[in-house]
Amino acid sequence: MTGLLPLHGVGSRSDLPLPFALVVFGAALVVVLTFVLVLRSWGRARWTEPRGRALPGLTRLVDHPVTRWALRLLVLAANVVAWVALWAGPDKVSNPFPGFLFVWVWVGLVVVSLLTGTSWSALHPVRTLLAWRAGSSTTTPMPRWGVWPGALALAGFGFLELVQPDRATTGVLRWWALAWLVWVVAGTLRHGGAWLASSDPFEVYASALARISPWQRIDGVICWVNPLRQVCSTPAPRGLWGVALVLLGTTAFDSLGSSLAWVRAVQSSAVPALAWGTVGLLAMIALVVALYWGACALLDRHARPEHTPLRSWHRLGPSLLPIVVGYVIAHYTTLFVLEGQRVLITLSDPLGRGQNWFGTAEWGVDASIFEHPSLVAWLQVAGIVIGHAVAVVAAHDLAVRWLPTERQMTAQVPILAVMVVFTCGGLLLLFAP
Amino acid sequence: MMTRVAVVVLALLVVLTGCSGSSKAPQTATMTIVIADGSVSPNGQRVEVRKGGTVTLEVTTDKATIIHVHGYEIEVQANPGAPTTHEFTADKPGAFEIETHDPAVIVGQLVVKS
Repeated sequence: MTGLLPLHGVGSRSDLPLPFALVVFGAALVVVLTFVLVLRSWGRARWTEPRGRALPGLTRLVDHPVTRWALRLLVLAANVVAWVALWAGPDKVSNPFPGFLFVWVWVGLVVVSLLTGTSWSALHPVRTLLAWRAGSSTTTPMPRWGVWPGALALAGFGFLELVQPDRATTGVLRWWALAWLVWVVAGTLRHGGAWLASSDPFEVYASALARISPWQRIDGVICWVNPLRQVCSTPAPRGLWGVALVLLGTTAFDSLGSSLAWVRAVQSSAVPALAWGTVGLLAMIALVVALYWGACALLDRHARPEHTPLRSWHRLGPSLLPIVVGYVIAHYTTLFVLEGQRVLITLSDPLGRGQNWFGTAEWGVDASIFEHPSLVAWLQVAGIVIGHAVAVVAAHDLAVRWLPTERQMTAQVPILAVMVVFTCGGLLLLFAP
Repeated sequence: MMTRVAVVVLALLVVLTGCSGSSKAPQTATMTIVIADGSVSPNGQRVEVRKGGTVTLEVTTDKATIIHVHGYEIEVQANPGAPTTHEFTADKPGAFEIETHDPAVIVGQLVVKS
């Protein structure tokens, strides 16, 4: 029977639920860290100007046409092979496309962006294909609607990843892949490369996270920078906070929806699972938005009058990104390590004919990460706690810019409380009762 | 300030290590699955077993179906009549879904602890 059935989803294994003691420990550490960081912190913004160690040699290497085109063609080739598998490969577990999309692209873009900055947008396959057209480059300015279309598209991807029935079958994924292609190509032909920066869910996500990487271009030169300085000093596009909240809401629903309590409730109800999933996903996003908005509205009551036109939910948006990264580390590390290897193997035989295009088809999956469940649990908690600490520090540096000195502490309490709720919520969901 | 934080962290660590040693999963585990008139029991039950332990699936059904243990990629064909029994060794730690394909229901989750 094995192999005849289409696969159900990528990642047939999940991590062990966190030990409850570890959850309590993580949560306590979060609360303590929050207050220590803010009580001991500074009253004036530290990171208002982009600054770093300029690396002109590296810039020349990265910007050299040979380097650029070699990498672009490599990325394009990987995408072409994955698309061949999607359209001509078998609808079986051995098809690399679901893993390519849900692991290499969706999780890989986080790794790529944190380690290499904005290379995701520079190597975007649609940019490569449209390179003959002027204006498809990454340098065009962001349109007036900011990254709101990207936030919407990310919610759509969240639906595909977590709710869409049969989401790992080629029959379903073909429609989604076509919809994505039309969305990005038609928009780029009409609005130029800025459309990708504002509307492609993957590029919007990748560029957002590149803000907390140690790389930044300052006056065209690549610099090695303090990620906190980068995230606090770079102006945020409109809607960045929406992007961060959609990601947080989606991740929260991911944990909630895979908990047994949720599964039991859905299976014993007469309402179809599709409706439960849709409402659940939207409800989690709405909950996250409501908490954040409420806290920012309270913060705005203290703002100095000259600062009120730009609301704090816009200004504080970038500080949510480290929390997103913390969740991703906690949630996807083992999936990335294990399923990522499987994609490398299955990509060698995209048509399912026993071929070996790249010589990787016979490789095995190194599952030694299985042997260290407590290390994984600690990594999960560390990811969430460190992400939270960075977020608190960034939010503080941003908030003191428009808060009157005498009320800095009290004004920040609501937003700090919401961040603690986000973080502890994330930990509790990993405990998955 | 910092000393106080250190004390709190240390205290939590002690509590934590104290707790984590106490949970030992059993060496064997059995999941009894009953499918009748399109309804499936159990509904999302958690079964815990120690790594290297033995898991037994006992399936009684009035309609041919497949019981699938995700991650282990075990698929047990179960037919009406006498109960089907399948035994396997839980050699991979993690949490794995167990589902039946007709009707498509998650009967439970196998938690393999090391």
